[in-house]
Amino acid sequence: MHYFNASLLSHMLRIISNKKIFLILFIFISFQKTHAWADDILVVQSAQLQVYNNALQGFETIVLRDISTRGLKTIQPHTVTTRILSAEKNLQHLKQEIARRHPDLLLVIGSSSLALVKGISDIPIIYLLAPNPGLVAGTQDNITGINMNVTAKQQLTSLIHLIPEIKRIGLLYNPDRTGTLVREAEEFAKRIGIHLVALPVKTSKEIPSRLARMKDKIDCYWMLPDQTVITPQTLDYIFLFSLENRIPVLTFAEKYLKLGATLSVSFDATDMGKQAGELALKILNGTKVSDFSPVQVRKVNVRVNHLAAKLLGIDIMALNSHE
Amino acid sequence: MIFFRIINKSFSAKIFTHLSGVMLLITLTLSIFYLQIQKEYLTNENIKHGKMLTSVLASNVRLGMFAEDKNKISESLGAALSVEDVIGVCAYNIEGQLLYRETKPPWDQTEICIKKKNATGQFFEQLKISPETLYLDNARRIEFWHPVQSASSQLSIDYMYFDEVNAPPSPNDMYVVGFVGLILNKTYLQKAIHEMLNKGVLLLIFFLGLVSVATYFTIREVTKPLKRLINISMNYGISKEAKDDVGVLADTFDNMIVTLNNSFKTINTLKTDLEKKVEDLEGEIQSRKKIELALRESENKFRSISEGIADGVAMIQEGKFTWLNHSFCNIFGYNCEELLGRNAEELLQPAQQQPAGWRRLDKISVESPGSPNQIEVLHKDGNRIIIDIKASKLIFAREPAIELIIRNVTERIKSEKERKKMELKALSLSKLASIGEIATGIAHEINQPLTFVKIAYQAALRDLDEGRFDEKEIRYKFREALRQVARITLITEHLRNFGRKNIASRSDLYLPEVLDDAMILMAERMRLRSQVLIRDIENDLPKIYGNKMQLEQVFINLLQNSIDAIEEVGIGKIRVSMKKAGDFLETTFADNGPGVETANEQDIFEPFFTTKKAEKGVGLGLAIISNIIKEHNGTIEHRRMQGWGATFIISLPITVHH
Ligand SMILES: Nc1ncnc2c1ncn2[C@@H]1O[C@H](COP(=O)(O)OP(=O)(O)OP(=O)(O)O)[C@@H](O)[C@H]1O
Ligand SMILES: [Mg+2]
Repeated sequence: MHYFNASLLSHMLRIISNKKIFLILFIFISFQKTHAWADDILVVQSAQLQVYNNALQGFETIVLRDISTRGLKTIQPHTVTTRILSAEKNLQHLKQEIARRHPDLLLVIGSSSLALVKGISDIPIIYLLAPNPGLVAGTQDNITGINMNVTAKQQLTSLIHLIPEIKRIGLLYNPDRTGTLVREAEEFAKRIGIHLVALPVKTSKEIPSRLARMKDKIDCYWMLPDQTVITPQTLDYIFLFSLENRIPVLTFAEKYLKLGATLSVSFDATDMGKQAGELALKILNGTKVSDFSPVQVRKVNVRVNHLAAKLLGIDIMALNSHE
Repeated sequence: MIFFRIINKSFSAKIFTHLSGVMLLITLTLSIFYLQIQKEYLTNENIKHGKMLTSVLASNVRLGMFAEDKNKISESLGAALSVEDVIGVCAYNIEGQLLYRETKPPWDQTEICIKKKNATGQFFEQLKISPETLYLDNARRIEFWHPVQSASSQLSIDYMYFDEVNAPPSPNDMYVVGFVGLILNKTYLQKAIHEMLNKGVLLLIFFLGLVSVATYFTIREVTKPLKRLINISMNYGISKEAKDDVGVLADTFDNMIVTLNNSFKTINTLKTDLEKKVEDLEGEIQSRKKIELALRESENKFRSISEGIADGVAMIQEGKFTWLNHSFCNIFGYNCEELLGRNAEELLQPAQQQPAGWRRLDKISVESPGSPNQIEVLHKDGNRIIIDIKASKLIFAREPAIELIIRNVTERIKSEKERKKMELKALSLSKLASIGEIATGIAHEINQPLTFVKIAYQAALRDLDEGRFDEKEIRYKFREALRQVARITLITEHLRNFGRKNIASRSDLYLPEVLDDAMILMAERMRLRSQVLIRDIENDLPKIYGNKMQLEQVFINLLQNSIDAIEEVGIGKIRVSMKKAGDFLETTFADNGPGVETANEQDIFEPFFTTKKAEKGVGLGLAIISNIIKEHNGTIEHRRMQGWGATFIISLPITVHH
């Protein structure tokens, strides 16, 4: 699809380079009031990460497939230009360049990219893969995006689906950070008849003792994206605890699988990119950004660490890591 | 003591001890060096081991330390106690609170980590920033301290989800959460060192033993010939009190040299004795042989020799010729057959008649046995011939005989007479030459007194003319004039005598007077040339018998030669000394001229040898002199004398009055 567009583009350019046609085109163009060309989309990506690339690819499949029905856009797709933040030398220059270029839409992938473009108010901005956008950019009318956090419901559903024996789930959380998530979880758990042992902690130092206290009271430990609970030290502790007490760990990111987590329920980056693409097209077609509240990730990936599962003696049915 | 004696005595033992000593020294040095290195190595290893253990512990205890969980800490650290040389371990949190302390049974817990507890602040501050394990070395133990590090406790939000957003936490992000102390027992190290030392010493002893045995056998092998030599020496009775083997050898060689010297001496004397004897024997044999040969061959030899020579040889036995050689016959003009058996007296008849009964042969043989005699005899053709004849008595063919050896000297005598005549002629010629030469001198010699006389007479005449009459004065002048006239008379008289041809007969002469006479003619010449005559004449010189005129000529000639020679030098002197020397009167005539050239010394007495110009000399002077001296039975020779030119020494026999 992409290649077809490229050959079409070159073909069109060859027609334009013919002077007579160019003259006709010029007269035709001069009658247009706004959006004389296809929409210009600038992507600012924090780094060259596989997950970011996947998201971008999802985004592009949606955006480039769409050919505008307005004016000349009928024969030219949107342009997507990508800048990698970690490869830029001077971020300030980049910011100035963005202002000068004034694209039709900005897609920012990763927290640092979002941090860079915050403050730009006259360009619609869509974020992707920013774990806590509110913390980074506050609330701005021209910013919207895809919320990457898998909901408690999504996670618990996946867990129960895979390991139906689990009845008691333990978790540690800092009420200041993940209190809302825990409340949602408690609600959902109650509905499906799961006993949630949620112990609040204030500092990471408390983790070992709190964990020790849950020892015999839980069938599974649920790891939340809580910065107080997740530190290099506590991670060691949590996985040690899991191994010693044969308690599986459910986590929110695939990266923990290799550290010893048993199960991960996380977003699907490509699909998230597609969601962003759909969102972008709506915005480019005239819908106001402020009309959209951030969109929840719709598709999750469930992955299993079979080695860990084996070590813990857990039988995981219907194993299908790539759902 | 015995040991030392053996060492001093035996050369091999000496070498052995020296070598062993050197070996021991080298090995000891090397061992000490090696042990030192080993010790250092062990100590370092120990420290390394401690450091490693501590850092492992620090890493292990991280989690327990983070949670300050004593059980976890104990789990992580307690294992260290199972290590042999670990005495105890302890852990502190970042605030310096002791979290954990454990020791091995014999050690008291309260004994360790005390100091750290007291001096907490500073030591832990230092430890916090220390990049590696610190250690404190005590007498009995070493303490190792290592900070417990933990990664930054906060992860970025992105990092919670994605691994690679930011670089994983670097060591710089690590921070210290506590400290771990490890106490090692040093006695293990010391034990190890001791063990090593013991092993080293054992090895050393073993090695030395090995080396000693090897050295012993090597030396024994090497010194075998020496031992044999010494044994031989001992057998030859060399004093056993010698200091050592080598001493024995030295003594042996000394003795050998002395003995050899003596032997050589003996051999030498024997040899010379033998040589002498052989020589004597040879000499005896030779002389005997000679005698025999002489006896056997003398006659034959005599014959053949006699035949070969120009002299005539004849044997007269019982008055008759019994043997003649050809020369003898030829001299007389006969055939040898004609003469054999003839009466010898007959043939030897003198040419002039002699009184009857005169036996010539007897006279010859008696008067002059072996010495030549000149006689005149008749040749076969009747001519007179003069022969030199020598007769001697001997045994010929075992019979007494008179041997005659004759030579025909007729010709020689004739030529000699001729020569005599020539010489005489030359002499007078020379005289004339001398006269001519000295004419000027003589003129002067005469002129001077004449002038004096003239002046004396003129003065006297003037006085008389002027009437001044001083009798005394005139008498004196006349007497003086008379004396001068007498002198002139003397000169002319002398000249007359000198020119006389016939040779005056000989008389007793007082030689200095002859010199004075010669000086009459020569004085003026010398005076003109500033030459002086030094007379060094002994008193009471004896007289000689000779021809005054001839001897005067000798002096004149010698003086003339000297004058000529000195003329080249300038101021000169001629010294004449006369003294008695045995039966002779010796006159030494010297001048300070340049002397006779060495090359000419042989020739100066030869007639007509001269180095002078033609008008000055003809070379006869010295020839005539030598003739005159010979006629006076004297000798003249030329000699070199230090400080003088030519020097002639004339010896004339002193007159003997019967
Ligand atoms: N007193 C002297 N000093 C140096 N040379 C001398 C002396 N007397 C003689 N001679 C050397 O000996 C040579 C022979 O001397 P000799 O008197 O026989 O002959 P002459 O003096 O040369 O000639 P004449 O016949 O006139 O004497 C001389 O020519 C001279 O060279
Ligand atoms: Mg002369």
